[in-house]
Amino acid sequence: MLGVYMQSIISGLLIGGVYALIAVGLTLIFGVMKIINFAHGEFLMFGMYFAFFLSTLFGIDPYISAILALPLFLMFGWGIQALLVRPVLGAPDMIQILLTVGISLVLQNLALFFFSADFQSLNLGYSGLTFEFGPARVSYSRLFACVVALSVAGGLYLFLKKTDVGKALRACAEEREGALAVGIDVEKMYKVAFGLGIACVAIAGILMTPFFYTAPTVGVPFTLTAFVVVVLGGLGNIPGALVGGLIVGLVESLGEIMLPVASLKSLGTFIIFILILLLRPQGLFGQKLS
Amino acid sequence: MDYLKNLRPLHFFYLAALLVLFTLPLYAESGFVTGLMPEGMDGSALLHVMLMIFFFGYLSQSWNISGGFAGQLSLGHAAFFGLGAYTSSLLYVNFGISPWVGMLAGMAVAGTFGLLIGLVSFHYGLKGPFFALVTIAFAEILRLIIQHLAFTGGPMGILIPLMGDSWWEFQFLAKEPYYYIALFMMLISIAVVWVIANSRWGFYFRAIREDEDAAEAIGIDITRYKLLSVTLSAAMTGAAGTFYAQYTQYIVPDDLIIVAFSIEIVLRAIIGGAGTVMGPIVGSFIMTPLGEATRIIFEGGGAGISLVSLLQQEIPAGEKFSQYLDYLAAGGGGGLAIMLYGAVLIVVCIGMPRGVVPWLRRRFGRYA
Repeated sequence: MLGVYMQSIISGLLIGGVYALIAVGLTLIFGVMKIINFAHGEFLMFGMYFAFFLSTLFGIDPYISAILALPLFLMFGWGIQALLVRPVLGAPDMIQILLTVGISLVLQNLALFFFSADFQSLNLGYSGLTFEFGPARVSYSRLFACVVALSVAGGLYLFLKKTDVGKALRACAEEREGALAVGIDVEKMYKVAFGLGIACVAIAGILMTPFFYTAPTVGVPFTLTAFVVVVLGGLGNIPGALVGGLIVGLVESLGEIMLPVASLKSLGTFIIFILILLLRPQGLFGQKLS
Repeated sequence: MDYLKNLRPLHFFYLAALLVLFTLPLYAESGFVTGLMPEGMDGSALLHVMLMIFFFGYLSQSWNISGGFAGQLSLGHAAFFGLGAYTSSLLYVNFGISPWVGMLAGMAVAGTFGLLIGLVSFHYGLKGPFFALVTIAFAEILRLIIQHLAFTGGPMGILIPLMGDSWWEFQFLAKEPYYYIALFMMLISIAVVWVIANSRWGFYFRAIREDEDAAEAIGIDITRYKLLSVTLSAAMTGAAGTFYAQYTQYIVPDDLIIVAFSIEIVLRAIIGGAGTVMGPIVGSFIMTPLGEATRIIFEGGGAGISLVSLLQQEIPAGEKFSQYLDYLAAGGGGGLAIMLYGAVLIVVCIGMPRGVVPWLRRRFGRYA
């Protein structure tokens, strides 16, 4: 019995690391632009297809695709921000939300049109490899996914703390007018933030391709999960998203063995979501919202 | 006779439209009408499209009360819709209670659920995107629960047995009765929203939408009026669920209680103009035929080629690519209809965020 829990806790933490990276992207976009990106999971899906096709057609390993994805998806996000999101920045919440919903619909169905609804999965030599860790079995690809995802998230955190661009981004997040006043190109920072956020989620998707299927609708549940993580950690709070990701991964994984039906696992997550939204909308670690 | 003097061209337009809509089933099968329609469509298909326009117009109008007028962005209206559908269907299948009674029960259940979501959310001061997120979460929880309960038929849903052609059973072999029911529901929803828009409630709703703090400062009990808007909107949405269940005779949680369906509802109101009386209806008249048409035109889908097997085939890359182009030309994996929805939504959000009706009013207001 202990073994089952041990296994569940490990799997939960491993996938939680990936959730953390997905959520870091979402929270960065929200923090800087105050926009909730409902199309977040669709960029994850495109990341997964990117890795899938590179691997199937050209034999490029997903971990290499993850590196290639950084500049590519940075530009993708940059372009989406410049073309579609920028015009609605001053608009009411409803219009901003519906715009990203529209982007999500278009991306999802572009994938459906071009890649069909078939579930695709990669069969890599190392996909099924595991090692024993106490009473539990750990899959190498899941462990890598978690470690790389957390490193990328950590790297982003350092980037925001140490570099000039990072400081400018944080300035935009804190106080838009102030950032403008000291001469920061806020419009450009928005593009950087959107690009980085999209790159994070795409990389998270790519890291999952060795052990997770790819399909046009694969992103939808991840968007919801990312909302939960981000709200849990506090909107705009990057360390919060990291901890939130691990917590949600754990809750889901434990829910799977503790609830009567495994497919009910997301019930626990949604209940936490509602409780957090109601009781601490600023998140577990956030300051009070104004 | 004062109101005669106030008649405007717009009123004549509405009268003419009503006349056409009320008499359409009489000549839907006539050679003139079928001649105007695309190849392969008959009068019955036309009635179906019209009926879907009314149905979505009604749904979108229901959303408009809380989302458009009171400004509470719900992305979980599919939950209220699903509750209405399930309540009346369960009552009908298990106890033989007429779906008309079930519709009222469904409205009560959906309204209560809306009230509950509102009570919890507004008590904790959730606004804007946070309220949207919480409505999604409640809808997802409801779907998960319905999927796992035995008496709701689980993921398989409920098949409503065909009991014959009668008003009591809310079942008809012909399209016409459904057509008139949907039309009446839409007209009632317009009337309800028109009355609200011109009443004290409507002014309170709009005041709350524009600035909650200011509305509270001038003495509006904002929680009370937000709750009213959400409850009324949810109850009305529930009634559409019963109609849908009786019309399709089959309900499944994965079709009804999903975010995509909530978005279908919101989409029409936004495109037509949220917070206007005719916006959702105009939105439905634009988007529903567009959706149905693209579905018919594009959803051939696939031409029998599977992408998985195509990728695995040992043929030269050039041939693979040309086969893939054939696959795309045959409609690819589908999805063009919803892609179009998304594109229209993006264009409207960027170019016409207030919707078509306010734009028309600005442009042609002097003629109306």
